[in-house]
Amino acid sequence: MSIINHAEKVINFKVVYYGPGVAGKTANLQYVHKSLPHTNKGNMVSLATGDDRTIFFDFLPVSALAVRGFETRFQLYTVPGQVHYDMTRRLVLRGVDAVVFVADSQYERLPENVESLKNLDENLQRYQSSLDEIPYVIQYNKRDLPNIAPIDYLEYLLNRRARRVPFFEAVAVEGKGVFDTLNTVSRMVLAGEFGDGGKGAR
Amino acid sequence: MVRISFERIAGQLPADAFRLPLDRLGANLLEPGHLLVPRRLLGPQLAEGRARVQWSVVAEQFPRQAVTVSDADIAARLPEGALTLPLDEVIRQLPGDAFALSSPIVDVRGIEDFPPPFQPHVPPPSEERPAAPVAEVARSLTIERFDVTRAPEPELEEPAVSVEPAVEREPVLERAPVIERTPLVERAPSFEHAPVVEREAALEREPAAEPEPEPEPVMSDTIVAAEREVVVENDVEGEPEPERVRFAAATEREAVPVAEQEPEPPRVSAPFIERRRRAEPSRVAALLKPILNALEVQERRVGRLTVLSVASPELAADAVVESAAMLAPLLDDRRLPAPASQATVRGAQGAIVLTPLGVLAESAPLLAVAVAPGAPLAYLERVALRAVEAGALNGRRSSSMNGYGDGGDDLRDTTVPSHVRTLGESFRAFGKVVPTVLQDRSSSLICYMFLAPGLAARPLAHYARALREAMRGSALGPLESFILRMGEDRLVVREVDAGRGAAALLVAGGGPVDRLGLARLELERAVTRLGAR
Repeated sequence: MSIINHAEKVINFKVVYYGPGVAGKTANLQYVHKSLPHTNKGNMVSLATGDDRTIFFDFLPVSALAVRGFETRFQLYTVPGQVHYDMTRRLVLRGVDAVVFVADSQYERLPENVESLKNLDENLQRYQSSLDEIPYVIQYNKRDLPNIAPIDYLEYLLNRRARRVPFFEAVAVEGKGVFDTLNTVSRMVLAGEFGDGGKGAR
Repeated sequence: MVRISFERIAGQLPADAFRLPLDRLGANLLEPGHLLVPRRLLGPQLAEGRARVQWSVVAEQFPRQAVTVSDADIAARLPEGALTLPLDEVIRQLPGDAFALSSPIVDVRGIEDFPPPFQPHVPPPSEERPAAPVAEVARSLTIERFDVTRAPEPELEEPAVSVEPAVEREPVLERAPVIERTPLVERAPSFEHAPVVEREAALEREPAAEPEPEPEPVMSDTIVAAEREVVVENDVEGEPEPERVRFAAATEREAVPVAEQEPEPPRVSAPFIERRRRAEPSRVAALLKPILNALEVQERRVGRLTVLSVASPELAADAVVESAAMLAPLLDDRRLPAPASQATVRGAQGAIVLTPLGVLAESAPLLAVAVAPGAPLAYLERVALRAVEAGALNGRRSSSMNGYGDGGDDLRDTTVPSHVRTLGESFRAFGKVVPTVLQDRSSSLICYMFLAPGLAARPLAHYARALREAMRGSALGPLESFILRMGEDRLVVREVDAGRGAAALLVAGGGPVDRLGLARLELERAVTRLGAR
C-alpha cells in the first residue's frame, strides 16, 4: 500500500518484480538504476549469492513526477525466484502497490513461470489481495534467445485470467522493454491512486 | 495426433530396456522416427507449460520384440511414469487459433492522464545500440513530463478536519484514512466531480446522526444513482469500500432529472418499512456508485419478487432482470444447508451477483448486479453485501417451499472412482470434504460432490442440476460457475467440460472457506482433472 508522508508531501509506492529464478528481475532493476539520472534514484541494494542469484531481494528507490503537489517515489523490489525462498517473497510482497511479473520466454522455463505466477497469486491472497485486484503487468523477457515460446502461447499460459493485463517483450540485459514495463505499471499505480475513478486503471 | 521426433525424447528412455540401440529403435516405431501422441491428452497440460505422455499410452508404438522388460518396469524408470515431450514441437503442430484468448485486456485508459514517470537520462555507455522503445519513450517524456510536474496545482485548502500532524521523516502513514489523505485525491479543477475535500467538509457540517432516508419522491422505476453522496474510506489493505452513506447538502447534489421535477412529496404517515422499501433503490445506487459509471438502478416487479437491477452497458437490462428472477428461487431453497446471503453466477454471456436484501419470501428485494464476462467481481460482491443492512437476514430460515420435494431418485449413487477420491483428499481450502458421485439416469449428467461432512449429497446434487437447467434458459448463457455464500460458508458449483458431449458438475464446499484464493486454485485444478478424464 502506498505510504504517505504529509509533512514532506511525498507518497511512496512499492512495485515488486516477481517471477521465477533467473528470469531477469534483477537485470531490470540494474538497467533502470544505470539509466536514470542521479537526481532520480537512490542506491541500489542487492543481496545476492556468489553466483549473482538474489538471495533476499534487490531494492532501488526512484523518484518520479509530482502529482497533486506530492512527489511520487517508487520503491522497486525484486524477490528471489527460487522455489525455496517463498517466505522471503511473501515478506517482500507485503504492502505491494503493483507487480511486474517477469517471465522467462524459453520453453524449458515455462512450467516455472506458471508455478511462479500461481505462487504470486497465493502469496497475494495471504494479504487479502489477488491478481484480480492489484495492478500488474507481464514482461516476457529474454526474447533474444533461441528456443523461445511464441507470444500467443505465453499469453495463453500466463495472461488468460478473466482480466488480461498489459504485456511487454523484453531483453532486460539490453534494456529493451525495461522502461516500457516500468512506466506502464507506474502509470497504472498513479491512475489507481490519483486517477478519475480511483482504482479505475486496475 | 501430434508427431514427436523420437530423437528428441530418446534420451529419456532406459537404453538397457531395449534389445536395439536407441537410434535403431526409432526407425522401428509404428511411425518410423516419430511418436504419436493424442492431442486431447496434451490440452490440459499445455495450460501448465508442459507436455508429457504416460509410457502406457505410447508403449504399443514400440516393437514388442525389442523390449526386454515389462511396460511397468519401463514406466517405473521414467519420472512419474511419463516421457516429457518437446513443447516447441507440440506447439508448432497445433492450429493457429489454439491459444486465442477471448477475455478482454484490462482497461488502462486512465493511465494516459499521467505521462510516463521515468526516462533514462542518457543511453548507458555500455549500450552500443540503444533500445529503440526506450529512446522513443524518452523523447515523449521530454515533452510531457514537465506539463504535469509544473502544472498549476489546485489550491490545497486545508479541510475543516484535523490533518495528520507532521511526522518524522520516513515511512509514515500506511494509507491514512480519507480525512488525512484528502489533499491527495483532490481533483484538479478540470475534473467533473466535486473535490473530495468539499464533500468531506459538507459531511462534517451534517449532524452526527445519520438521517433516515426520506420516502422516495420518484414514481418512476428508474432512479439515478447520483442522488446521494457516498463517502469512500479505504481500509487497511487499500481496497476502497463504501463506508457509509450520507445525504449531501441539497445545494451539492448533482442534477437528478426525475427527482427534481417532482415536487417534494408530502410527509405521509406510511409505515416505516414501506418507506425503507421505497428508499432501497437509492441507497443501493449510492453504494454502487463508486464502481459503475452512469449507474442506474432499476426497480422491477416479477411476480411477487422485487428486483433491483444494475447492469453494465453491454447487457440488456430486461435480460438481467429475467435472469435474476429465474435464479431467485435458488437463493431461497430448502435444500441449502443455510440461508443464502449472496450468489455469484458466471455464465458464458455474462456474470451476475445476486444479493437478497432480506428474506425473499417476505418480499425483500433482490439486488442483481450484472456485468459482462470477464469483468472483475470481487469488489462488486463486497459492495453488494454492504447493501444488505445489518441483520437483514439474521440467519433466518425462509418459509419458502422452493426445492421442497424436488429430490426424486433419478440421481443414483455410483462408485466413487479412485481419482475422484484422490481429488477429494487434495482439497485443503474447503476443509475435509466427502467425495460422492451421482449420475442422472435420464441425461447421464454426472455430479461430482465434494461436500463438508454431514451434508447430504443428493439434495445438493438436485439443487446443482436445477441451477444448471435454470442457466440454460437464462440470458447469461450456460453455467460456468456458481458461488453461493451462506454467511461464512460457501458452496461452489462448476460446470466440468467432460468432452464428447458428456455433462458433469462439480459441487464443492458447504462449510467455511478461509483461503479463497487457494479454494479457487483447487477448484480450477479439480475441474481440469475431472474434465481430462
